[in-house]
Amino acid sequence: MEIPLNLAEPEIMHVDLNACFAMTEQQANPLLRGRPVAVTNRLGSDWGTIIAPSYEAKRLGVRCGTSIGEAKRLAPGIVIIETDPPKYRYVHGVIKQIFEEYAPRVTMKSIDEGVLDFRGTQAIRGRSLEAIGREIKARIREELGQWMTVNVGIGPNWFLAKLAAGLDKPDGLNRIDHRNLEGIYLCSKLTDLNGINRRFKARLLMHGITNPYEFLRASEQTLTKQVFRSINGRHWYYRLRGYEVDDIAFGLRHVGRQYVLHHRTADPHELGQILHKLCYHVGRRMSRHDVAARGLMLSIKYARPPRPPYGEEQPEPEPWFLRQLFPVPFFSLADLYTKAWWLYQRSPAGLTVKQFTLTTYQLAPRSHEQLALYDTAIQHNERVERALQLINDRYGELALMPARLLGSETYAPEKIAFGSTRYLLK
Amino acid sequence: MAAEDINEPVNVLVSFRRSARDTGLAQPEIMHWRGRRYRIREMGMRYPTTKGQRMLHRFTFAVDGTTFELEFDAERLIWQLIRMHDGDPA
Repeated sequence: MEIPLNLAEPEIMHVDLNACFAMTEQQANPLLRGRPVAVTNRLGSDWGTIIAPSYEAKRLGVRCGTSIGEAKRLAPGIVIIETDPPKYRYVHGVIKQIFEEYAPRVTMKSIDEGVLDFRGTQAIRGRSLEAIGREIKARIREELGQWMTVNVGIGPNWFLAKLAAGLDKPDGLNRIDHRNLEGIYLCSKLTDLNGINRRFKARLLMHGITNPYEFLRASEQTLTKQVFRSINGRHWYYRLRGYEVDDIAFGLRHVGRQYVLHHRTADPHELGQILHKLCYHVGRRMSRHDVAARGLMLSIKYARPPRPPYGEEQPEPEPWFLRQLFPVPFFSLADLYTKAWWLYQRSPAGLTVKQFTLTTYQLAPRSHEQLALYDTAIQHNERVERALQLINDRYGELALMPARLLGSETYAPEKIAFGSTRYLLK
Repeated sequence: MAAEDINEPVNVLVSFRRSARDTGLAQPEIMHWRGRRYRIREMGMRYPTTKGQRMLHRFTFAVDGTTFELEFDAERLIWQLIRMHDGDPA
């Protein structure tokens, strides 16, 4: 039996800032407005990638993931800026505060987008969500600056609200409900749907589904048994019809840090310092969430060796990773570094490293830690760690640090956690 | 972008206004630096940042083709010109 479209009035609003980081930089620096601008995590080389192009840069073909060198070729005169986390944190804080003044339930999906859930407020709000959306746009311009624009989408579920927000960029306000849903699916592409990447698109095409309208018309059985071969098919069946299936909060499952080396190196001393710095940042994040970990994973990407004179170019070495579960939960910087170094020593020696990723997993609240019998070193570590965290909370990051990190100021500076807001929590 | 770090104390004339939403609004109006007076007509952005527990407020504004970043240290009550840039590609 086919389930009908959700006929309920839309009560979910999705708001996202247009090209957030680039637009914030244009707001902060009036000289950049109207010009192609792109934000990167790493200035100083052409192999870094763009993480946020402005609309002016997008019109010239610059995308997220474009290399800096390619961006300069596509948009001559483009201004490339390194990320400035305090600005984006401030913007995030302001928009979140504005959202919370309007909706009883707000979920920040990332640093620059949030979902406002108005369900159950129809009787008391006394005006349309479109009117509220227009007011939110005006409030954001008033509080952050006239250059700051947002897309607002209104729909019966998270998925359709996000799709509506993407219909008319930049600075759009659109609504999708049962009246216009099929028309919008007819003129959209499969990859316009949030969650459909190239891999899923290929899978849908294999089953003769070439656009969102055909996706909507596919039966639940086809999606569940043939296309997705999992519960995902059922979720898509309901999601496309405007029923809520995405309103699920996931707990913190891992804490980590990735770092693309500014200066690629094979020097073990330098790599040790970089790894130690990553451990410091991961440890600080764990401390903010008051968690200890049992698992640690280190993965490394290597740079292609230089081409020998008169020789052929060598292929890029395969990435390497190793993960390990430890019997006793750990949280201190000293423990993190000892374990990360233990993993690192098992990696291929002598290769030039271009990227480290350090991830802790199997997290549990610190208060639930089970202390090992007779091991007073753990209590000692705990006290040292608490003192370190308190001093750095008070006097600033790295005010107190292991001696090994002296001289490592330029390695792995703090960057904005792209796509996630969980590290913004204090 | 061609940026130059300055990190020098400056004299700043500030107005404190009451905003529409009843939150205080500090607005730098004039900056004196190296014998020159800069009248601030167009603000870029103001945002807080911290150094440990020290609260710092950053203000950006443009005058005559140059963007300036000012910082107010709310604990020591001093103003510093942090950086200036001309908006040209790096």
